Amino acid sequence: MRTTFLAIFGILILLTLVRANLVHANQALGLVWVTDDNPTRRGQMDGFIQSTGKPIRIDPTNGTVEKVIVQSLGGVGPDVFDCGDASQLSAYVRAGIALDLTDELKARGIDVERDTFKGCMAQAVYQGRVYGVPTNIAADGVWMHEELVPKELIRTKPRTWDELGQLAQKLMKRDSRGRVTQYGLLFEWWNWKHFVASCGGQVFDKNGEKCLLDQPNAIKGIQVMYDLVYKYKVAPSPADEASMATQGGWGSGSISYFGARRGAMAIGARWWLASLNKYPGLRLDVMESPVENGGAPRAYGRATMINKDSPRRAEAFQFLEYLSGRRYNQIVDEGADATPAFRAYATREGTTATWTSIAEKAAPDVSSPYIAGNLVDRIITKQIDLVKADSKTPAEAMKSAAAEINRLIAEARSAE
Amino acid sequence: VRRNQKHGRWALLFLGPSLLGLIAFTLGPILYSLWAAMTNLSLQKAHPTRFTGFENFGKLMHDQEFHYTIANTIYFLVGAPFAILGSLILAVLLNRKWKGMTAFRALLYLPSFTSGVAIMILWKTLYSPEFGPINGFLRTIGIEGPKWLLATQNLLGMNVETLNFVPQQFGIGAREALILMGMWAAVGGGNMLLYLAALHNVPEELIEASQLDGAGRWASFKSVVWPQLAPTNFFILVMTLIAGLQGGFEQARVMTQGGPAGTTTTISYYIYRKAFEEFEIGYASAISWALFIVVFAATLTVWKFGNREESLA
Repeated sequence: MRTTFLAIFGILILLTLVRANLVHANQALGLVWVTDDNPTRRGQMDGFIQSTGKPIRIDPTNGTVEKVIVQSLGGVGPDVFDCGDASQLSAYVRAGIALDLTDELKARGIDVERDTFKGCMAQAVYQGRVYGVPTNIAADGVWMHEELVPKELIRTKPRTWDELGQLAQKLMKRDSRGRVTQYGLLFEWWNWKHFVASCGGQVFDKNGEKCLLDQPNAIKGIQVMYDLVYKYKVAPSPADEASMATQGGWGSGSISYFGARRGAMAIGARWWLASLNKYPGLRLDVMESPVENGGAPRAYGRATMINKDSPRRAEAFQFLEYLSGRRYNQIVDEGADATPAFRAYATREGTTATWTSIAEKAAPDVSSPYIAGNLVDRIITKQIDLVKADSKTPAEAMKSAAAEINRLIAEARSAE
Repeated sequence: VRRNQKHGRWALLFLGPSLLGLIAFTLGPILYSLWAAMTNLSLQKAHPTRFTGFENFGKLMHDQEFHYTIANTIYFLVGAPFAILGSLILAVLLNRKWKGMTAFRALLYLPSFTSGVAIMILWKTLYSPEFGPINGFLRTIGIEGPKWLLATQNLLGMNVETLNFVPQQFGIGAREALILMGMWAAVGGGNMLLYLAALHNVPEELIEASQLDGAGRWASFKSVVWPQLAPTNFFILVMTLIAGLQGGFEQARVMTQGGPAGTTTTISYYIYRKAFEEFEIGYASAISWALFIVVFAATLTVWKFGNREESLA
């Protein structure tokens, strides 16, 4: 019996050694990049492999902020990871896992603040320090199916959301039983930041010390979404939206609906093309989204950061150099993975010129150093749920959200 | 004595790895979470960790969101007695010696083999208000179905942001949708198997004797079978209570993200959010310990009264 136990013990130790060896071998596979499994990602990685000879692989399954942070703090995080917005950036920096790139990038001749669109700053620069290299920029415009939106209707482009709502009403189609076969304008509620920004509203003041969602312009943004669904009735109701969301796949339900010509127009960004390309025979056009009260489209996109504890820091910097270079940015442009973040490489011809123009005007988010971005999102999402369910008016909901966020900011500031 | 000492050393050597695992992966984290609960530990290194004593537990008393999640968790427990009853009825039905019964048993146990996430995605589609088959069926018989996972309404009329009751919130919503799904999954699951095993153990001669004495099926079940099921009932009750108080995470994560407006956020999902979305590890640990105390107290209560019932039976 003793011999059997000893043998099992020996085998277990042997297996442990084999496993440790495998982990070591795995580390030799090169950089691990946490990013989404966008159809264009393969080409972007190939570009790096060809230009440096260094291996890289993506890890799309661990892309959420909490996974990146917990894994990185546990010592098993990725080498490089993407950051999608200001709240993510603040979370990564405050968790202490994002490497401060300011000096090293300067030494390598990469000036993020000078060379990229101003809309990229929210996900790359935190309190004056550079933590990420912007890898694309997106801002929403109005997608249109050329054959579903008659040219005469858009001879004068809609400048306000009311005008766009009225135009969308003319594009609604129903079957004999009154069921919608074509929506005038598709959008999704999670995209509320675009509506707030385009109506001149802001989530925070410039120092992140006060939440401004209770201000008239911000409320107007949420009111616009509400009106598109309940007043103009040109966009899917929350119930329809839920049905669309269950369809799954890369991209969201709105993209699938728009691709299937179930919507004549849609609020979306250039990166939609990566998914829309799979629908045959689409003839698409784009116009700028309405802006009011001095607002601008909301800028978002990706910036790539380096894990502070990455054992492959030198390769990671090589990767960032590649991301800021011509080859990568051209791949982004040709693959329509939004718009290249580096201004010099953004195309200014044809339809792409409209997207570049939108990117130029787009404004970055402002985050608050006093409150976690995830908590802010949760508070606002809860209130927007109530607006969607028609249980609260946009004004009531945004006032509740602002009050709660401001209370938490005040608590955090007094604790400091 | 020397031989015993030698055996003891060998035993310790072989138990060593297991004991180390227990200390590293069970005892260690438990003690760590107790320490964390008494600090402001955060995944955000910008906050220096400091000892806060019972501050987090005090915060729990005033955290309205936490109170709301307790109410949600208790609300979800409403389905448990029905699920237990359903399991018992199903087990009684499956305890017949009919042809093909084994196939039926396997079929009814099938949801327990299937991945929970797959089942939840399936139910999400079933609950789709516009295109889902449930509302589709209701529409064919002239009923406009509820908005299921999108609705904040509930059968008690519980308000959305505060713990009070308002008539506008009376109806069927996300909570009921999750309860129904949970009942469907639980009826044919492990409880049914436990009841089946218990029913197999009821001596046939006792049932035959009662029937010879003129007892009908119901009287025989009530007076002979039911008392024999007391230990199983007690076990199922305790386990369901523990699972119910700790449950709701997967459903919230996969189907609703705790919404709409927080109506499906249970204690376990709230702990996850606090720890891994808002990075408040200290506070989340305090909630976990509070949950442990509640579960422990509830189990002790059931144990005390359940044991009495069992011995009376």
